[in-house]
Amino acid sequence: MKRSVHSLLGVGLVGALLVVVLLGLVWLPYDPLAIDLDHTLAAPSLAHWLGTDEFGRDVASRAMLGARISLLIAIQTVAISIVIGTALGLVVGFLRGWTERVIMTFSDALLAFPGILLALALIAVIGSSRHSIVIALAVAYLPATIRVVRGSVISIREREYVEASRVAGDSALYTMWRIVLPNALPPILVLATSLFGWVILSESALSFLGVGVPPPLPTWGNMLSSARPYMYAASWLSIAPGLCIVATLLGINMLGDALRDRLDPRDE
Amino acid sequence: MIAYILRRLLLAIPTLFIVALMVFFLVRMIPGDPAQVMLGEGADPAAIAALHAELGLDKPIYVQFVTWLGHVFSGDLGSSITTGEPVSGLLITRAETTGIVVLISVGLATLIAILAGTVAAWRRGGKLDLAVMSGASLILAVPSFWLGLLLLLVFGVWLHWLPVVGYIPFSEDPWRAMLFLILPIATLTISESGVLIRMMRSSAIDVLRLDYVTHARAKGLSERTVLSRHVFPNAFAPTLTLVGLTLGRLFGGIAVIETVFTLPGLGRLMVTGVLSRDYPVVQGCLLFTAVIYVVVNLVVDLLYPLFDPRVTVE
Amino acid sequence: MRKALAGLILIAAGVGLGLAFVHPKPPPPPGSMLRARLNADIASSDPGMKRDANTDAVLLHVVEGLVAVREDGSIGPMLASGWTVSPDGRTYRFALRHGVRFHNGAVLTSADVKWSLDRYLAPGSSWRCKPDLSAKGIAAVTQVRTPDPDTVDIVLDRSAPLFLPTLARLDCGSTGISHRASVGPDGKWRYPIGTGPFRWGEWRHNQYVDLVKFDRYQPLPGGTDGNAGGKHALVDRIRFSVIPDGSAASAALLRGSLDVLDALAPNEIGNIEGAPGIKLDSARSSDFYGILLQTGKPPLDDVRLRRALALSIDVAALTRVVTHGTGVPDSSPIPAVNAFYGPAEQVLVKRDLATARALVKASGYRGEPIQLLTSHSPPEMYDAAILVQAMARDAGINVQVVSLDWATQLSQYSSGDYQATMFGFSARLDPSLMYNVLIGDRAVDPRKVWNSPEAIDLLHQSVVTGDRAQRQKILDTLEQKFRAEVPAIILYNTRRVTALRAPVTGYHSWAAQTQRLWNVGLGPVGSGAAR
Repeated sequence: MKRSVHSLLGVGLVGALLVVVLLGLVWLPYDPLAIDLDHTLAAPSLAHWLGTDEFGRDVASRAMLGARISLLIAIQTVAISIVIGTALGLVVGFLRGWTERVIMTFSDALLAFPGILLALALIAVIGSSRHSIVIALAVAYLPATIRVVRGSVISIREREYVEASRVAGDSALYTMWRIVLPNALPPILVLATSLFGWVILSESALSFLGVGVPPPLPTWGNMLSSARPYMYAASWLSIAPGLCIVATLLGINMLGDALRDRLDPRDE
Repeated sequence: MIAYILRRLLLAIPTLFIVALMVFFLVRMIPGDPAQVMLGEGADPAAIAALHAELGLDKPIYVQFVTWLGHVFSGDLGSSITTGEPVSGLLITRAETTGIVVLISVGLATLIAILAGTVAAWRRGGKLDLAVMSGASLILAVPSFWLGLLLLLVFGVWLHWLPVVGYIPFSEDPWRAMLFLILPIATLTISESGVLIRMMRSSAIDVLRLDYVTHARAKGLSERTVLSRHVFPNAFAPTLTLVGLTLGRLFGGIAVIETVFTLPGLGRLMVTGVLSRDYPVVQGCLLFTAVIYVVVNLVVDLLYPLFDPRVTVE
Repeated sequence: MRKALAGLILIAAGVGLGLAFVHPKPPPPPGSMLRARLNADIASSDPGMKRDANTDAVLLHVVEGLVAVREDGSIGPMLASGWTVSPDGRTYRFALRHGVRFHNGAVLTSADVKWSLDRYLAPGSSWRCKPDLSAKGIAAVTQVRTPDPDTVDIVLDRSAPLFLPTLARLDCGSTGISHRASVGPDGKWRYPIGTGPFRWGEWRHNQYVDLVKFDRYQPLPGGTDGNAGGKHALVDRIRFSVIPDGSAASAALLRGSLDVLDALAPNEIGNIEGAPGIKLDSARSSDFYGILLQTGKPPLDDVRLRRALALSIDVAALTRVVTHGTGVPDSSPIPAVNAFYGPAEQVLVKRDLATARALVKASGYRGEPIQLLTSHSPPEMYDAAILVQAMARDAGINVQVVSLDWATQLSQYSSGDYQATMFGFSARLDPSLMYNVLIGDRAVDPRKVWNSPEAIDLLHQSVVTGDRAQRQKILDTLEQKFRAEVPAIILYNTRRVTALRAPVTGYHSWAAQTQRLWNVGLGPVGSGAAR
């Protein structure tokens, strides 16, 4: 019962988000890039429901466009990180031996790298763009994925059903793909949903250091970090992107939990 | 056991070497020049060249790398380009601050996660579960610098309970130092507990379904005993991995919290190092973080069999 | 098992605690303390050598030079009671003030002055003004003589009207005179032993710099006057705390943990203004912020497009929004506070979209992207870039903002590797020094954006002339050429805002952007070390 309420709320929040993103493709209240220097830092009103920012840009329109960009970045980053990380973690945790040693050496080395350094270096090499942010964040979160997947795989491979599959003469690839992976999925899903949040927040931190998505395109992250100086004087600037982030992450986490329960092969 | 530890430490050497290699070339790949940053916008090109020569930055990059590596092996991490302080001394004082904040926060967050996660799994689907999970999801959704600023505003500026700025080294006066550390620790504990609670709940649910839990219950053991003796030890392993990862990540990465609370920690040292292209400092920081990583992961792997009897350290 | 884990965590926390008790606790410093803020740690304690604006500000409390810059930009006496210039303009004779003592008690003599000057000018020294006082600069110092303990002669290779202003430059540490004991037996700098109203206390890297009142300081008559004038230490101790984060600094001031918050970021003013027990003090700065243009590369090699860009910008509105009403719109490289900011300089370039569009059309520009570099230091530069982009869009100019970190932006600026860049130049009190950052041969120094031979010649003329009216005329001609050729678009001068707790008395902001804490006291309310 309660669980379905939870997942319903998750579906509702994510659905609302998708509606906003789709609506933003065809209609926005104002041009999100147009400045209006006579109406800067205006409080929410009928004309501007979420107020205007320090350049007189409409916050609602920016949040709608920002939804698209933020989500795209988060989805791309999580997808890259989870797909590669799961594949490597699976192989490493299942085969162990020297494969594990080599991959983990590199993974551990990467793990010690702060995202800021990676982002700065990547931007220096491939230029400041949305893609460099995605790549930098995906690389930064890859080792964590590998480690989590490896951890559960090591624990799963000792279980009876894996042993059974091995004894039955299944190929290692089959066992990994059909037996180990489904059982390792729940922690991966939990990680993926958390990762989603971390990416949106990390993008905010990168914007704060001046290496985020190039202006004037809005993301929730850069809206939040540029609203920081006005936290007391114009709080609506922080509330809009802040609430967007909180609502989205809540929705996605709840959806993740619901999904996790559905996918769990041992659920009766 | 000791042989295993030694072998693991030996195996860490290639990891550390790769870190050293990557960081050395990565920081130099980023455009910008420490001499330029230091001497400012109107600096004389001759003065910049002189500073390059003084810092050895005019030599070919591989020569610089070999020189630096040689010094590292003899225990000398060099000196900061900006302040001239020895990097090893900087790291030790900075690590004290970061270490205390991170260890206490992660310790508290782990305890909270064990309790809340296990209870939520036990009462899965109930009101308690809903409350815990909603709380955890909310925590995950709030940016940590945001939370920090909010706490600062409430407890520092409005209520006047805690100082908002300043810092006393822990080694000087631990009790007064704690006064400055309460808010950063609270912020970090809250923001790190979200993901740990979720992970703990998720694995506890898995374990609760296993036969031996049913057995234990059938034997008439109290729920408390079942949870603490049978569920927790068997469900803690994945959370432990995450705790290890979190510790490693935070040691190099609480720059944002350190900035909000003006703590002179490792994260701020690294970020200012990167931004001013203070190569020796960045290299030293990363190498130090990497060593911490290796040690933390080793400890986690050593603890793993304690919680998951199916796994042996070998 | 759970006990094992709890034990582990306790041990980890305990190790830290245990270690902590090994060290004894130092007693708190006695007396009154004025608490000020630095937004970054100082670069060194060696004046004018390894420096930045914060370093200058702190060290100017500790060391003093022969001469010092006054509030109005003119040059006044400091350690020298007076000076004479030989008829050929090459020899300066300084008479040293009597009774001046170093912080270690030693009496100031001409030998100390010579020792300091020789050290500044030695080969391998990185003194900021060394290139200026070389053959390639305004004039080379050929000799420093000490005819008697109270007299110093400095001989130049040619006449140089800018010699004294250069000696007084804040970014050169005001050519501060230190005692030779400032350098250790190993030849390395220890800490400054100067003659200022405060002596060097303790420097905790990235935490604070403490300066202590110098009891035997002999002040000049008069009150605060630039970096010259009468200086009195009214508190026992000054603590400059390093607080990089602007919001944290504001919170500290509101909370009463700071007395003086200098260089308040414009976007923080809203949070501070009107708060009980807080007052603001401000002064217009002698700096400028604007857009540098690479005139050698298409499409900005076309002067029509550069003028169109300048005309597309509403400088007044941009300044108001970006500096939150504190800045002064300015189209001239000469700052509005400068004495040479005459009628020719005061004319503001007005936004004229019709002309801008016509110029764009005439130039044949077809919307090729123009990359405008910017960074977050200071944050206003980032905001300004976004506004320039939006305003240029109205004139049909496609500006793309490239956001970099400061070190990268600085390196692109230094190599000239950009199309357009937002840039600011810190306070220089002499108008020729302001123009000097723009004018020069790009082949020799890629930082210079204006390499027209006429401009180089005019700048040279403005430096060699001693006559004020003549100088104004030259600068006006330069101004007209600057506006016709548009190698850069000047936007505004900043206003330095300092927030003070109510008990702080005697604080004055000034055009040179450094905080001066001499003659600053703590009034009766919550006197001194109130925590």
